[in-house]
Amino acid sequence: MPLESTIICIDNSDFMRDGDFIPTRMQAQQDAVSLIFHAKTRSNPENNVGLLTLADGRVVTQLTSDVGKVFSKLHLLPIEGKIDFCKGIKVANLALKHRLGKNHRPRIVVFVGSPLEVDPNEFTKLAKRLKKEKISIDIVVFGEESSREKFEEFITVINGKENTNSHLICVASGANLPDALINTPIIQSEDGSGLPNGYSASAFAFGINPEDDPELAMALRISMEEQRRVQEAEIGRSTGTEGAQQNPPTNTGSSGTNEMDVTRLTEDEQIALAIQMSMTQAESANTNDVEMKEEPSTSTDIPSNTQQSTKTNEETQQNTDTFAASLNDPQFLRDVLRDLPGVDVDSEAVRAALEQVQQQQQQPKKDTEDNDDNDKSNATKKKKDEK
Amino acid sequence: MQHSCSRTCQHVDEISVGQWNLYMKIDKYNLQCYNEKHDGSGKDVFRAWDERLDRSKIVESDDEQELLFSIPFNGAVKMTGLCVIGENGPSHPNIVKLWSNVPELRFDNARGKAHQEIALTYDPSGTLAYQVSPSHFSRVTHLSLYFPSNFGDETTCIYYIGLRGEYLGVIKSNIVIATYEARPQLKDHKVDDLLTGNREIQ
Repeated sequence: MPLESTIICIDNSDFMRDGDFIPTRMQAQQDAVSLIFHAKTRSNPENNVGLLTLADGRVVTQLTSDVGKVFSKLHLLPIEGKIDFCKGIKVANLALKHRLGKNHRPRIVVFVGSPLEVDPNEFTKLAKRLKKEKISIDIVVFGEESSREKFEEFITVINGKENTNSHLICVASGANLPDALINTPIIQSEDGSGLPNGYSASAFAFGINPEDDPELAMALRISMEEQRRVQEAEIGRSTGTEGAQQNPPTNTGSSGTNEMDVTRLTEDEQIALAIQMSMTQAESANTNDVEMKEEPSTSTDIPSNTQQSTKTNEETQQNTDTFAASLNDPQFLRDVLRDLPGVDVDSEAVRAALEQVQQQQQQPKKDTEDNDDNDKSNATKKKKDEK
Repeated sequence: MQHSCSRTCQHVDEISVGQWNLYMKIDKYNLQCYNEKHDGSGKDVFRAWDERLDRSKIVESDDEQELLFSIPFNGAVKMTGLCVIGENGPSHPNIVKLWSNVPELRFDNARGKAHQEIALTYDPSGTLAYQVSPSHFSRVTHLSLYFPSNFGDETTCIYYIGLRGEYLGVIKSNIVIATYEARPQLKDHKVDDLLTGNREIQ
């Protein structure tokens, strides 16, 4: 854990208004800076960090180990102008030269998210100068591909033949900037310390402090990523059957809000059956959509549910195994339901319905068809009653 | 430094070994050599007098001929002599500039006036010892050696640097003005700055 004084150079040019990094590039940078600050201070509490803006080459915060000083200025940075890379680096060099900790190893971390306009000779001279003064530099290029080769050359000159203290990290547009930095050498020091396991850049992301229970945070993170992957795969496969997909959500949604204790059990059963039926049938997305959308607005009674489900059952019945399999997955349903407004995933009705689905998954298709026939006869009986 | 025995004698020159031992007081972890070609080679040139002729340990300049050594000591030192062993050729440095107690010295302020400037000549075996003036070097905690040029080669090569002198001891801390409190009162310790950060004990 060597003593280090780091100057972080922030790109505050007009290109930082871009929203390709959520929410804006500037915000992503701010999160990344806070991540780096905590990593440095954690690895050695006597490390110093300072802030500098590249657009005007101004030192925003002198080298300090006080988190408050850095953060108060960090969130007040103006976005204006274009970056002057060489001037910024020279000012950072000067700030490091006058640092209080004379024994600290100097380091510069630069964020570049706008096109680089620089004289190549001056650029190379700057690299040589940094090498002579033994200043390590880490360059993070985000959202900008044009200047990548220039920076690679820069880093090669600074590193020389044997050194590997300077790094170039490129982050593509749309990625999460702090998360992309976690696994880089900027955060991870040589002995692999860096941040503790399970640290998420968006701390408190799951409502728990990752420091209190890093294993839980890690587990949550992994399961979230898996979910995302599964969802993306499913949505990719079942684009043509979107209408049918909407059947189970709206069914359970409307029934979820309909808390009639007396008939709840039967309601759930029928919901489950409805889900099954809609799963076994084909698309005809538009007609289904129209029916479904009219459904919740008119009435949410149980008979109307079954009526409508029989209608959908009478439609053409194609059977794509993969689609059925994906919809049979209760976990997938859970996630789809979670995304709908007004649906409380944890409400008993929904949970019971999903359990039903799980149970019915184990039965062969024959049983479901039998149920369909029974339901059909029930429905027709009821229709007759109403008439 | 030369003694009068026959050429094949094994006598160790004990007087010189005893004198040229300031290398032991150098804070090697924080010793830095700027513009060296191989990282860490600058530390190897500061060694014992009887190892001075070891040709395997060398520091070579990387970009141009300059070499700058920033040498902190473990205490205060009184320096009286300097010895530089290089190649018997153009890569030998021709000037050395010395500064005492300027730890932030780097290449741009090394161009200015030094505390002492010494012109060097070829010395491949360590026979020459240059006198260091006592005016600036009687109480040194940090020494800076700057070799700006050599006798004509593209890079400068140095095999050994010897420092002669005496160790004065660890620097005593500054005078502390202390106030003793029988019972601390909060009103005596007002802190204005609300932004004082949290310091965790880890």
